[in-house]
Amino acid sequence: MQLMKTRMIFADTLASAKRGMTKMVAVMGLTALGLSGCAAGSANLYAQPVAEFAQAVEQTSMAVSTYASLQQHLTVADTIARTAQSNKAVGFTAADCDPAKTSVKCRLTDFKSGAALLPAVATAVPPQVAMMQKMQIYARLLVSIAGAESAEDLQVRQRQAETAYDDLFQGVKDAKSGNLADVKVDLKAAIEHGLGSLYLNNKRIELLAALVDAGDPVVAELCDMLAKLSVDTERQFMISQRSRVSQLVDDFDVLGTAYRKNMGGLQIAEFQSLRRTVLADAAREAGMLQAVLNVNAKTAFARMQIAHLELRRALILADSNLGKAIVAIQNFSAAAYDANRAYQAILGLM
Amino acid sequence: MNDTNSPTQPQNETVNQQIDRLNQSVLNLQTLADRARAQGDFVRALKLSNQSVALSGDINRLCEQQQVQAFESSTWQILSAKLDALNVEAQMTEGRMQDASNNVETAKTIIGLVGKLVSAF
Repeated sequence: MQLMKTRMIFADTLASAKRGMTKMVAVMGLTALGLSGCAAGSANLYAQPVAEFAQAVEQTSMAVSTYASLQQHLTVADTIARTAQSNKAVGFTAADCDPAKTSVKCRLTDFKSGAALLPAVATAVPPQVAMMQKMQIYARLLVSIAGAESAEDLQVRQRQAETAYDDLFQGVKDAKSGNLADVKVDLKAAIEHGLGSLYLNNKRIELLAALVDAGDPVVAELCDMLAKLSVDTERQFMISQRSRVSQLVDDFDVLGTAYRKNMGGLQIAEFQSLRRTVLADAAREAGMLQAVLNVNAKTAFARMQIAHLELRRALILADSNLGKAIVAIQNFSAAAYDANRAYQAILGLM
Repeated sequence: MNDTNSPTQPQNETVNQQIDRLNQSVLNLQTLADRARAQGDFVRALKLSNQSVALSGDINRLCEQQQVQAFESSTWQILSAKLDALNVEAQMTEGRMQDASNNVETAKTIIGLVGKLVSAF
């Protein structure tokens, strides 16, 4: 397809060369590149904001992965608490932990019933994580379309355009016996801009605008759903975790009542060892509770929604609101990094 | 202790309402445990905490069920499909941008070549 296009352009060019040099220049410079009708604009205005948006999406995605594991933490903690409250025995079959066995998982079981007590490591990707992975793909494609070219890349592109123009101009000049002073400036600007950055930049904005416009309702819906889910998860974790910390503190205090002045050395060692363990658990769980209270994941989702909306407005209104979009993306980025940092701290406590 | 299947459970209560009601019970137990602990009655506090932990476990299981239902719901499935469609569109857009870039590179080569050909005429 590309070869055919090139052949067609080349055939047109040769035909034009026969008809007249100035006309050929106009055909190549304006029609073949589709420059007519292109609005003015600076190169790669959107590369940086879109890249920042994508990085913030990555951070949010990492935070979502961590908060999805909070649910599993609750299940494990609940099972441990229930089992410890009873006098039940726990079973374990070492042979089940075998990579050759795909159907049997490595797990602790109820000794009597053989039922799984503590779940093996979850292998399925939680749905909210899968959803954010799709959002990440979208954000990465936006970056690719926005063209994260460096200043050096743009200069190379511009130099190539200048060389192409110089070759063409020299050819036209030779054919016209050097009488081209009046057309040189306009044509140089048209061709160099076309071959350099202007044409591609306009194309980029046009394509980005259409895509971001189509994506905005989907991103908004995703943000709403994940924000609600994060609020529900955090609230439930807070209520359960408060019970768990209370229980550990009460365990510690009740253990304290078992202290006797006439305890032997072994009893004192056991007493202290048990109390140390319970106190360390209580401190860790209280730390995790505080860390979850500090997280505000829904803010990251709300700001992601606003950032995408402002990006859409800026693209559709041709740069007039880009400043507002940049601020919105920076706000989203700050919230996303905060949420991810907080969740990483929680992960460290699990 | 466990209100999940309480006979006083209202008929037609939604899972959300059930979770809210059980959460309120847990919060009440926590308040009572706080009070017993503050008074130095550690044994009573522990009993109340044990009850609230057990009830929290029941709620967590309900929440898990509720989440599974939400993930399997048509709303969630439709959103997932919309994201897939958006990514297909984004990939096509990326392809169109690449085409535009390739066309410019081709035009650059041809313009330079034509200039040289014309010089040679």
